[in-house]
Amino acid sequence: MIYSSTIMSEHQGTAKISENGSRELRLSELRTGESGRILRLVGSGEVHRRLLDMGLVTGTEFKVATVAPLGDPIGLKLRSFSMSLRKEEASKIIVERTNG
Amino acid sequence: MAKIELTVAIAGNPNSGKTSLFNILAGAHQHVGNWPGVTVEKKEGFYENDQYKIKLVDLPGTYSLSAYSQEELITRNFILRERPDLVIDVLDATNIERHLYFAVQLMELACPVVLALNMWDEVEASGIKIDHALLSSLLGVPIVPISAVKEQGIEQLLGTITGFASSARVSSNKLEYQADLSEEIDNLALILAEDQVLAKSYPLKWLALKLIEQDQEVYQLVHERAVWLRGRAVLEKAIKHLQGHFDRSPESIVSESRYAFINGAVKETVQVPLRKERTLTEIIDSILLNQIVGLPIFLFLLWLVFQATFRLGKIPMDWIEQFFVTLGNLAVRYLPDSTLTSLLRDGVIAGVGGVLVFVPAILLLFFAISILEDSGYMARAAFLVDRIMHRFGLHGRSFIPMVLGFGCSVPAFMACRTLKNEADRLTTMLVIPFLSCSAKIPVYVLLIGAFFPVHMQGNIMFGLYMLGVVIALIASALLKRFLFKGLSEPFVMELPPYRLPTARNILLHMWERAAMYIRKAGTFILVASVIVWVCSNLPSDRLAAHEHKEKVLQINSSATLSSADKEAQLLVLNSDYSSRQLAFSISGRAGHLIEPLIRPLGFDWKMGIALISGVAAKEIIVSTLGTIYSLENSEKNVGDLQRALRNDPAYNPLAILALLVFTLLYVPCIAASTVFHKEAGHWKWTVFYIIFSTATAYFMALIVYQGGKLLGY
Repeated sequence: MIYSSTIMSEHQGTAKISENGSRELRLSELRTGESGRILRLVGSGEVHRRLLDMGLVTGTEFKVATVAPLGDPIGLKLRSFSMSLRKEEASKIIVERTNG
Repeated sequence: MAKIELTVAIAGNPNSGKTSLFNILAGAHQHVGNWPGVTVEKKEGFYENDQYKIKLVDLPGTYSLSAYSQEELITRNFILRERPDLVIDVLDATNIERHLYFAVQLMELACPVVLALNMWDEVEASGIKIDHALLSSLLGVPIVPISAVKEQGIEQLLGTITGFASSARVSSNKLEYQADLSEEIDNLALILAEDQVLAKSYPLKWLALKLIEQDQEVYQLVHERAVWLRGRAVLEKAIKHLQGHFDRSPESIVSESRYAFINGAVKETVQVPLRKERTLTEIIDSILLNQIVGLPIFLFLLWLVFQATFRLGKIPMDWIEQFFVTLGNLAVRYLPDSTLTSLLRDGVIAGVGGVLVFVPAILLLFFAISILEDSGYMARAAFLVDRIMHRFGLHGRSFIPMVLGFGCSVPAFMACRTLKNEADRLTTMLVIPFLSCSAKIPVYVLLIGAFFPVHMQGNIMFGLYMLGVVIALIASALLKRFLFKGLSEPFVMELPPYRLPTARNILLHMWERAAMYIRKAGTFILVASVIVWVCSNLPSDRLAAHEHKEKVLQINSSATLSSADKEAQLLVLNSDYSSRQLAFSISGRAGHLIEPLIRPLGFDWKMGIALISGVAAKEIIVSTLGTIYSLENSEKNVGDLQRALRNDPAYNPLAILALLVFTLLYVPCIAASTVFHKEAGHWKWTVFYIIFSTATAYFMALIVYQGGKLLGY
């Protein structure tokens, strides 16, 4: 296999302060009603692929529209559609808050 | 003049209205099969006019053309290998960006594509403006706005299809990536071009792009070839370059690049009006996904589905049953009394009845499922309960099929088709039999009523149901952990806008399921019920038959007996004979044969026979026990049978409890097993399923009986 460690990003998804001062966080940390912009995805494999296919690429703006009554999964609005994902999957998406 | 024949594939995202378009074009001229080697459905149909005969292939709905799911592989392999004359990509124009993402991937495959911008009526109603002519020239592919639901634009679409095919024009798509990516693709494609075989059968830029995306399938394909010696180094350099530049996975870079291209095109051609008020979908969601009422509404809707399938379905089911009983009786009345007549009545006629009796339930179930799916609610239902299901390794979509399992496993297995992921679907199917189906109720009533005091009866019944649920959940968690490790589907799933289902789609779906059940499972169930008849009637006990005949003659010719007495005595005689015949038959012998095996569970050969016959249908356990105890009409006179069982010194409440647990868990009836086999698609799963359920039943019954004995019961 040539696709190995050289290719996988080193980001482990830890929150940190980026250069322009806005705080990086995981999508799973946003609350219902908050909006954000996607910075990057961490991880690989099928979940990673699915998130990209759904249009969760760098720069995409979204809103956390709803949370299931049992607390998980969550519902997002982006582009012109709605989608759901588990918090476990949302924790692999690094975002910044845009609603101030 | 001979018609021009074309093959046209219909592709697109789920919820794009792809199936509606297919249904309009193909109408009833369609049939459903499976793609070779997999359980993904393949729908084909025909559209004909005076000039053309178009073969339509409905490709599975997918969001992407990566190599992660069977559906994606099927779609792209069909396009690459079968080379359809044209691919129609159906897009939801109200959600054009994400749907164009799939279109772009079709364009990458360098196949002739026409984009059908579906839901055009909604676009116009909502004030969205799409300059589709400009979009078409920016993308370099023909675009036709349509509304499949309102059947608008279909003529124009057909015109474009036939026009496109006759002009033999290759689409000159104008796809562009970011400069760095473009450059690397070109470099790599140049190397790959040295391989004549690859160059002939694949679009090279697509291969290069897929290699950069780290696509496993393409990697397997290319790395065996000589060209890989050079290609590998170029690819590694390309990936290093891109990663150094963008600091993200190459997959991310490619996806971003596609979206950048799409955003560019959309910006120039699409205007979405600023809206302040909430959309209808948002309003409905605020109720159906509400924190407080969301789950209760879901449970209510589920209850409705259950009632429709089983309660409403029971009415025509009773008619069908009655009809076949009457037919069987007619056969007996007008045909000579022989083994063949018995086979005709109890094997063939009862068998056909046994097949058809499920049809009303299947029709009603798929009526309900079509509405839930097509309206967009099914995704919400999964969303609401995923938390619970996920804990046991299942998917939110497993919930509805599992609940249906309490009614009957046949429709429950068929409902598993709503699960797209193979591992999730098989896990759900494997645990459904543990949920107590309604055919087991007569067995519970008989045995619990005979051996347990009234105040315990309700609790034991409830306990059985709960035991089934607990075992199903534990089993699914174990199956997911050990057998289908890491194979579950991510819950990254669209919540499509609510839409009104169309009658055409609902009816076609119902028809398709029922027809498939009859065609695929029907013959099998029929054969199985004949085999079961053979097992419990052959070989015939000639001695018993001879004695029986003589005694009947004796009674009939007796001068001293009144006719009422004669009838009563004949009834007893018939029962005795049936009992002897059953003991003499293959099932009867099998019952004796397995006795040592089931001894540790507290069962004797009579229970063995009953359990073996129960494989035909669970309620048969009751009538078989009736036959063993020489009781006529045991279904009607449960009391007599209960007394007979209680008086049998072989049984005690503990053994009966073990029998109840065994009945709850062991292999489902033949109809259900057949449908399981057809739906699972491979013998190995059917064998596994039979062993898995029966071993679980044996193990649990063993614990109950031996554990109970240890505790001193």
